Amino acid sequence: MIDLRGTRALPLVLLLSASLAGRVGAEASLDPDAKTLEQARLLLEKLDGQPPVPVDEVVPQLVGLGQPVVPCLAVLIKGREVGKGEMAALAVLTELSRGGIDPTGVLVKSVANGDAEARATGLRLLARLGTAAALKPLVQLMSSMDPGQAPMLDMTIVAILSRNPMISTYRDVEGLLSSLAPNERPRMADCLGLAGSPLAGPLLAKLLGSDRRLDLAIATAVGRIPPHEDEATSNRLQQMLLDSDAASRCAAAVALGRTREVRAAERLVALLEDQDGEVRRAALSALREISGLDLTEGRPGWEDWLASERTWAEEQCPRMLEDLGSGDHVKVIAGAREASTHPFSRGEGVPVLVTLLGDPSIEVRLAVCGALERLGAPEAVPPLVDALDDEVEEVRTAAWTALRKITSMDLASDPDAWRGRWGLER
Amino acid sequence: MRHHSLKFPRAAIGFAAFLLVSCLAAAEDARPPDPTSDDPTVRARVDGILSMVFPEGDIVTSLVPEFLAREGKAAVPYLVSLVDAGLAQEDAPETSRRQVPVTMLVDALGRLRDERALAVLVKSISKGTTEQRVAAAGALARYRSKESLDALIHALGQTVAEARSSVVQALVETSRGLSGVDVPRMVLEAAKKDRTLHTGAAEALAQLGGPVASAFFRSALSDPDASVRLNAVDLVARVSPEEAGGWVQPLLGDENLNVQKQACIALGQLKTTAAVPDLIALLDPDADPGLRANAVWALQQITGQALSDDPELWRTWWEGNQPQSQER
Repeated sequence: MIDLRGTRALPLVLLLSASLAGRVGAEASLDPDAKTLEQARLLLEKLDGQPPVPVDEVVPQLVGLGQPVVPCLAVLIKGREVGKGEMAALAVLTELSRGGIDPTGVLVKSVANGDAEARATGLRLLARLGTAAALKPLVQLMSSMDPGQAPMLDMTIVAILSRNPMISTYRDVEGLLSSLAPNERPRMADCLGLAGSPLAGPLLAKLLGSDRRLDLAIATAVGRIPPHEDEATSNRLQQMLLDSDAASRCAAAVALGRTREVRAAERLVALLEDQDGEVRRAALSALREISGLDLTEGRPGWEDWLASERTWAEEQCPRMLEDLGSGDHVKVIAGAREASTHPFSRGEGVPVLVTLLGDPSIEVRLAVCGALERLGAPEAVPPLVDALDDEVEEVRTAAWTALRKITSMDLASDPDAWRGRWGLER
Repeated sequence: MRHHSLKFPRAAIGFAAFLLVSCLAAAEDARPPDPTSDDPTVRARVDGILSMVFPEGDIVTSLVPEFLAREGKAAVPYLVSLVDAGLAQEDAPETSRRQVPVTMLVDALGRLRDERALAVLVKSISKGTTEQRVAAAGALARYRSKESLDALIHALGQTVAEARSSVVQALVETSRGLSGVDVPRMVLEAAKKDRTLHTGAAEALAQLGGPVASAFFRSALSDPDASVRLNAVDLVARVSPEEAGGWVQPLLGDENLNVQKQACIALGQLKTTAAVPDLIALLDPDADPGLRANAVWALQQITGQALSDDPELWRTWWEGNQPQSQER
């Protein structure tokens, strides 16, 4: 018989048991039942037997032992090879949650009140279960978590955010961000960046400009999430290109490259001669993103490009806009193609181009999708999502291709999937 | 008195030495603890992050290298020691191996770009599994320093093609990020000194291009080692497509059958019209059937004619079309 007393797994067992006792009535014991433990142990041994029995075969039998198997979970996790033990525990917890027993609360309590091992086990399981209900209590633990286990907590938060990329999750996050202590906000911004949802963009934008350390974390996060069009964020990031701190200049350059912010081009060209190598590389990479060109790091080549784009914007852009608005399909298509090769057309061109997504001509709509794709304009995401409902398959495919290119998100062509991930109304 | 005067300095020297040792010890104690050596919090954090690795891989597992790198320079010595331990495990009996995610650790070290990790990354390239070697090459590619370039050049001797290809890729990326360094020349010099680097050097130079690479391949085509000639025939067209046909054509008469076969393929791809008579000569009925097949393929590619492997048919066709083909 396995004696849990004195083991470091005991707190989790007790918490799990206590939770069950509350839910299933007074008959649920706080102590593992000896018979169940023995049965569970025999089942677990099969995982490492010769030949090993797959986890998928063992789990239903463990679940079949019913509620008394829950107090044995810590033994399962602790006593086995980590991967198999956790997989089994995870599957059992999932099955039990389907039966009306939500393990989230128990696991969160083990993270909040347990010893180091119980905390670690609880975090690992929560990260894998990924239930949104755990987000709030875990974020609230950020300031009190043992520094040695803080990265595990952050990883768990990122995992939960990644598994729940819905608007409801991010509404909760907005409230949580404002309740966090100022020194914890950069950590949360990091987590949001790593989770990679576009829904984090507006939340991060609201926090910009209050604190330098937070701004650095936000700029880094903006460089990781799909591009989000926001004037204030862009302006602040452009200011950060002049910051005395190299890490801030670097993060801002990456973020502006991600959003293909053409207004930052001049400052980015200047950063090609920055004293910091990382900044120079980030600036070069951002310029390549913005221009779609593969020029080398030399400043003169980029200055020539800037000059030619300015000349084009001054001398040719008005005519191109006229062509786009002419109603003559040949001119409109030529205008869309011209716009696509000039990043400086984005400010005035994209608003016109997106209206042309509703043009009766299929050729025009296709040309516009292509132009928006090449310009990489995040402000075009909502109308392109609507174009996924276009009556013509070719246009739908072109819009989908453009969306994937602009956002770097590999979602299916289902418009509702895109709306859900971007928080867009139909 | 004299006796005393002799004794005093000895005592004074002893006392001074004691003072010096004491002061040094005190200075050692007073020095702030080195955060890079053995900080238990850093170790706990790294161990915690590694405990999130799930053997089957998932979102959390994919975050591990990023989070390890976030621990910063202070974590480098511990990460290096873990990679060392992981590489040592490869030599241990399978039953006693502890799971060390060397690939993830190496990935993290690449993100940190700390000079102290260079040695263990070089070791990973020479000693790790193929996956670890590929990861180590990727990590070195992030350094973009003269030191990492040297390490990558010396890692060109990889015998596993996949790992060698990663080293070549890392080398090319590094060369793009380093200005004022003649990388092709460095590769060439290293390959001259160490023959084991030759295959990797050829692959790297094929991508780096330029006059040094052209000279390297031209020389390699007449190397006494058939494997070197074979490799050069395979790659030369990428570097000098204009001149490669003229350089490869003499190898149709090479003493090594494989070199001859590869030369046929290269000339067909290059559409070297001047090689047609030599290719027809290879259609001799007594020649190796594989060589004949390659020669016919090359002739068909160059001329656009779908003739069989009968040399007389080709000679007749060539006599009637020679000027036209040459114009092309």
